[in-house]
Amino acid sequence: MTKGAGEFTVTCVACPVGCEVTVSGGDEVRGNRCDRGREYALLEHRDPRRILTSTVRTTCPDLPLLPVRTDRPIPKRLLFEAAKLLATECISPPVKAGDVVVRDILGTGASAVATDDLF
Amino acid sequence: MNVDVAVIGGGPAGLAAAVAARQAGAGRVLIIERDVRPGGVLPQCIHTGFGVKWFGEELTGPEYAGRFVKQAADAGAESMLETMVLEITRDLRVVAVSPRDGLVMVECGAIVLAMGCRERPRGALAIPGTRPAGIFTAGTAQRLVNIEGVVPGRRAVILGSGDVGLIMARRLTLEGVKVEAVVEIMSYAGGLARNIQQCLRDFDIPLYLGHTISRIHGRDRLEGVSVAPVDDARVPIAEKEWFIPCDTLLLSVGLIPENELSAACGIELDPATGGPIVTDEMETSVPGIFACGNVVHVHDLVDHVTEDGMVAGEAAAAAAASAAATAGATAVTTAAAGAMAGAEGGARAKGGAGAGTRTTTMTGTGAGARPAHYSGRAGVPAGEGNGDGTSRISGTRTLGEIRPGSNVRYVVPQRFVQGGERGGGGRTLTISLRPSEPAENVVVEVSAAGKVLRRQRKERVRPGEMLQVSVDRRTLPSGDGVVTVSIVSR
Repeated sequence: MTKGAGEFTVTCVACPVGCEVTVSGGDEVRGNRCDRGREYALLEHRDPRRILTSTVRTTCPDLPLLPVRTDRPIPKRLLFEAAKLLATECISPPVKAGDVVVRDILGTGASAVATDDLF
Repeated sequence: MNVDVAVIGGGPAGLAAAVAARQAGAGRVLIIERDVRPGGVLPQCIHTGFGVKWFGEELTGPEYAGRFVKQAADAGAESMLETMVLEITRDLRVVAVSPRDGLVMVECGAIVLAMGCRERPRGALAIPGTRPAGIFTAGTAQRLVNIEGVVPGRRAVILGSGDVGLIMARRLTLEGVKVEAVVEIMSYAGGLARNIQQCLRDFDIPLYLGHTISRIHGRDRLEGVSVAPVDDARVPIAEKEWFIPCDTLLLSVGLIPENELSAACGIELDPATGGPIVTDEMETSVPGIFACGNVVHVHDLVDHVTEDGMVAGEAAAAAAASAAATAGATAVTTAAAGAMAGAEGGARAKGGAGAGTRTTTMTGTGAGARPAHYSGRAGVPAGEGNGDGTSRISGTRTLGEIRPGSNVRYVVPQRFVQGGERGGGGRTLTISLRPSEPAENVVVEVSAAGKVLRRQRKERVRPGEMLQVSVDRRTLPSGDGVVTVSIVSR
């Protein structure tokens, strides 16, 4: 969430305390109670990334979907596009949890890997 | 059928209990699961966030479940899938039914309850309006989207800010559904802070705290909801009501431990948790029956469910071993019991160790006719317990009591075994608790007889986040003393 001119505020999720950390002027951080909060807020401000979890279609009638995750965080702004890409995939068994389903999503270098087995 | 430990439910709690029971030396450990696959709710929880505490890494639900399914198999636990338990009895029998085996009776050395919880449905809320299609509990919607591949609608509103609802706000958004709002009657969010950030704020989904849905509109399909702020008595303020068009409403308004089996068996339940009252060994008020996970109280992290399950499984294995030792003394009667059980129509029961000369009835032992007595001591009244007059492990022990104090909604366990060291932490007794109200700069205080045993500072506490506090067992009061856990300002 942004607020104020040039200010950026985020709830830190590095631990359960949930500090509201504000970044202003690019690298001035306040509201954090520890260094992890500072790092988290700076990264969130500069280059927010998320693990994307979704599903891909399968050819199995009993298990029409296979859950997948990206093997590393991808830029937050690409989440929708990546989700759309995964929605066009369809795979056949056998697949084991950890197998790569889609390689190098949108040029991020991240792969979508299966999080469950499909027999 | 005859097993040492029967585990009712194959979710994370049951799987952990089965693993721990086998590791603790139980011979036959049987998981009874009504779904076609083990894992409980985890297979549909495709998001990450599981296992940070237990495995030291962030896993998805299917990955977490997969690890425990494998561990249970490697440990030699057996399982019956698509099997519905109809009844458990105070003399440790389980009656179940499945398409493959028909009606089954299992005689057990110990039982672990791991039935989990279910979602509070619309019928439990007094929302005025019509009853159109398009209203789902959040977990049902999660199953539709993640397992069955069906998106429930195009425009959604979510009532309640529990974690499943927040997770579904993000999931539906990524599947192309427009999530118009999350509406929460309380002045604070029910779910974890990280989910508020990553599921709502990341996608600019508005969260209306102190608001509720005051009317449901639409005849065949949901057409929209009226939303209004509430006053101090949580009554909607009609003048401030507005309309949000939507075709889908998800309810994330609380989870209820699933205890029909426990109640029918006469197990004493805690009205604050909705689950059985348990000792630090996760034993219920019925000796030999243990409980773990969301059937005891609703957890927010699966890692804690696993910890519970491990304690329950280990304790159940010990109880089963003690039952087997008793049975050895009465082995002479075993053959007769087998003959009787085999002769009974319908039930494919096999009599066995410890069965004595009881007849195998399908109605239990009058469970529920007599209230369970559990006021500080777990002495087993004659004729109760395992039915052959001998006491189980807990029968001869003295129990202390743990009670919620100021700003504490509940504590688990509610009892502790005097001199016990098995409660998962050797000399340490760990108490889980949930605050009644959010508060900042507080101390979680454990006290007994006016003496403070432990003080633990907390920056902030919220009802949505379970707390744990540990005390040194050597400081606990002796006899049937009472320990109180309070949250006080600093």
